Amino acid sequence: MSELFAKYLPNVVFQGWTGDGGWLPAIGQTLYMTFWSALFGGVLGFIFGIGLVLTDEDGISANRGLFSFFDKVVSLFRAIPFIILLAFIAPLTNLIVGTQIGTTAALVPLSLGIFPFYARQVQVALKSVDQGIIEAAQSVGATFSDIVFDVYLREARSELIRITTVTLISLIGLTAMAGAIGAGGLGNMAIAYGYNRFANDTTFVATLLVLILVIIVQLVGDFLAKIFNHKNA
Amino acid sequence: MSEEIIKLDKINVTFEQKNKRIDAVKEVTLHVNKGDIYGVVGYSGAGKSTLVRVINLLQLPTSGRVEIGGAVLYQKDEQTENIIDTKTLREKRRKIGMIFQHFNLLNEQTIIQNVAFALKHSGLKEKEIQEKAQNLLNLVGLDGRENSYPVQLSGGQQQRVAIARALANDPEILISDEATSALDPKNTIQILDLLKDLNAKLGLTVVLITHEMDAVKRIANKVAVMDSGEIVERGDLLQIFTNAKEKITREFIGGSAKAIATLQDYQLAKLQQDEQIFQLTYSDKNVSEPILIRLYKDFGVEANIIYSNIEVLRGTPVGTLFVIIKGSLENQKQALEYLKSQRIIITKISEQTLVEGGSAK
Ligand SMILES: Nc1ncnc2c1ncn2[C@@H]1O[C@H](COP(=O)(O)OP(=O)(O)OP(=O)(O)O)[C@@H](O)[C@H]1O
Ligand SMILES: [Mg+2]
Repeated sequence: MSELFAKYLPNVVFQGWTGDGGWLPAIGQTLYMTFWSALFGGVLGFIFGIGLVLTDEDGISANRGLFSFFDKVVSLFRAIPFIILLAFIAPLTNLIVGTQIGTTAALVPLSLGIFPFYARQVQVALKSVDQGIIEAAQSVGATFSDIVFDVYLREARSELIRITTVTLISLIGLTAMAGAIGAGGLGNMAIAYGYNRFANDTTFVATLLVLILVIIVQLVGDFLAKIFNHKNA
Repeated sequence: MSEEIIKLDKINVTFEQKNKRIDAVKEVTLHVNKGDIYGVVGYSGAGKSTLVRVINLLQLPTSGRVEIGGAVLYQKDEQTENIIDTKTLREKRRKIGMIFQHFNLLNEQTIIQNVAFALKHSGLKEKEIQEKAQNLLNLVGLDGRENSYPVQLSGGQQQRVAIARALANDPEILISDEATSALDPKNTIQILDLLKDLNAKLGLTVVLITHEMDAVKRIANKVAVMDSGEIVERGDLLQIFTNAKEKITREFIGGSAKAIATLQDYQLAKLQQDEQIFQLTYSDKNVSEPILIRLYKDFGVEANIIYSNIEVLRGTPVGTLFVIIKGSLENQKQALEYLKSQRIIITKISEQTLVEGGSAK
């Protein structure tokens, strides 16, 4: 078996499991970056997404000023291409994590890169909750928090899971680009060790691993979205 | 004197849009007595929903006064604007149940959770909430379905859940905004009868918005007709049905009143010197004699029926005849006396009304 690998995937085997350029650290770095930036970017995006819906003209706390703040910030960050954001945000990164390069440094641009995308998706998901249901809740004297938690978030639960899945998959894509600032991970493996060194087998395996990761996320997401959906039985 | 539980006074609702202004409700005053089933009818866009959403301030008016059960929720005139505080408003809203055309249930919660949701701030313990929610579901005939999700129920059943939810906090008022419009005829009748039943048993005051006149005929005791943001006609059901003044009302209620509109359109009634048109309205109980034959035999008056109709108002059949009566003035007078003695409501319809259209006053 291992002879077979050595014969057909020589460069893959050469990278080894551990150590600098090893497969395990690369997988670990991708997971690390995905997890933490999903958490930070996700929370930020969630807050902005909810904010956009609640403060909108027909929202339950309509507030033109706040809405336009949320809206402008999200639009601004969405407008910056990620690869430029990486460079543009470097001083801020330095300020927050004390360095501009490496896996941890990549978390800052990754979080900021994914949050506006997520915010817009959350906004759309929550807007899909029928205004009539909110009105019905108000008619029985529901409070602000009842409407946010029991109506918006609960009614849109399945849709939120679905968009979170989409966002995670995009994020995995972004972590590959973060390789550009020495963030490591599978993307870095595919480019730095594979493409740049004409080691096509390494590129192939790194790509395959990313693909597997994406598929796992998609399957889990679809499954959860399904069990939390009672709208269309 | 019955108590006025809903008092809307001089309500205006104006929507400002980018390039236009919509006066959805104009200077509307509507008072509803405790125990009434008050029908509000009108064409789409007339402002019915906007008006009733003012009752629980889901729609804040532009001006006017809203008093519910003796408490002023909203008042605005030139100088001052007073709106009840949010917390008290929430409490008041719990005493005003509301049901909607599309049910508006929480799709991600079971039907018992839907009812329990309304009881969240009732001060009851969790166990009591579950018990009460179950009792309400039993009341609307859904025992055994409590753990179903809304999507698993038929439209009629979903509307029953919505009614249970609306009744959760023992409201005195129930607002029904086109609640039967999405239902088939059988479910429509069942839901209407349920409302009637709740009205009779619990003394619930019902505001029934609809564009189906049949719903009003079946259960309402009062009716108001809305057109372009105004109430153009209102009154007791029987009175409106037998004696509608406005053309739009007649279009709406159909039957006898529509007859006038029809007669107008075709100018059917061209009268001779010794002829008059009368509208005769009777409920079946008071007509036991072949009256038209008696008119001829006893008074020498000919009666020519140009329109006849019977309809059922709140379970009582009401007949309407439009007749041209021909004979000497003296004979006609005696004939009318006789009809009155038979407790038939007589309305003279002037030829003018029928030829020119407009108000039948
Ligand atoms: N939030 C709003 N913003 C702007 N215009 C509105 C709003 N709500 C209602 N309108 C307008 O006010 C008018 C009255 O609407 P409303 O919904 O009260 O009519 P309705 O009698 O209930 O009609 P339907 O039978 O179709 O339900 C319509 O012209 C409508 O377009
Ligand atoms: Mg309406």
